[in-house]
Amino acid sequence: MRNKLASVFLIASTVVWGIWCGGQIFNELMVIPLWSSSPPETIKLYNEIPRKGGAPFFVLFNPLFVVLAIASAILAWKRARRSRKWLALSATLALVVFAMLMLYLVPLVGNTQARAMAGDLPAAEIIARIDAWKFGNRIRLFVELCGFMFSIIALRVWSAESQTTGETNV
Amino acid sequence: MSKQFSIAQIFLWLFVIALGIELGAGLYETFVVMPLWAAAPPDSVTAYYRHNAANPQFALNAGGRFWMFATPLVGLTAIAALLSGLKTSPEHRKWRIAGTVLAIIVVVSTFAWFVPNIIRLTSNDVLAMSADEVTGTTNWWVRLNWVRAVLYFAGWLAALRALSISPESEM
Repeated sequence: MRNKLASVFLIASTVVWGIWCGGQIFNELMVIPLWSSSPPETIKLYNEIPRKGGAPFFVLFNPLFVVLAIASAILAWKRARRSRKWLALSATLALVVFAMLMLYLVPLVGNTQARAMAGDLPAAEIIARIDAWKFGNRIRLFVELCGFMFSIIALRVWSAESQTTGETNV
Repeated sequence: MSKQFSIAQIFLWLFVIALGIELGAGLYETFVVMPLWAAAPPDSVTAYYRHNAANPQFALNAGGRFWMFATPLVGLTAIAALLSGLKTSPEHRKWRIAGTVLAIIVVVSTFAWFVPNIIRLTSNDVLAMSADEVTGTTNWWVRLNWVRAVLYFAGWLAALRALSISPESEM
């Protein structure tokens, strides 16, 4: 029962890692350049685009991929042998990304955009902050892609271990 | 034999990665970007076009700059994973075929229906369309986009299932 649950969580973790990475790649390549190309003017103009509807991609998937990565590692740990390092890497990177976002990237971009809109920060300071944020965001994206790869490897190796010992997975 | 299997596994890996990123990017666009133009047709569609025409620096143009590379990559890796895995074990092969065929169906439907219609809705063609036509096309596009996401998701789950079964297990 625990093994079947672990398999379900491993697949769910890989799925959400992939969705998260795909969304971040789209954001990095398509959306971020729109508002960050020439700050602070582009930040102001971008925030004036009329918006209606929309769903919270970050709010929905950010906690989900962290919870699933940790839960799948815990559930699969007892049976895991060679897959342990991949489970640990996937869960650790999920935590690292979550911490980077919550403790640095989200506050930095939120505050900088708000100050750019209010116009109470020199343009040079806004440009420096946005450059720092873009650099940090690219590091985060690289870490996320590694986490996605490690989650696929963990799923593959763990499944192979289950088959070797004759136990069924999902 | 082992070389053949390793090539089959490499293509399956590439397909899983490409499809995962395609699905994630598609969901991001569906959640965050699509409501900008599809929330209240026909007015939201024409307003989005006029805004992009007036501010071309803020036109996303994801089709020409992102999807025209990402979607064919999914199609090509799906075909490669399918063809390279025809001699794998039956238990592995059925999931591989399910995943890749679903993805190929979605890629073909994307180029056959989704792309021509999104071009109509986001170019100046939209100004020549009637309000009913804009509303109908937008609503169909949004609904079928969810169907496409579900098929991609099912294909991806099947591919992950194939990845978790050894291609040589019953050989």
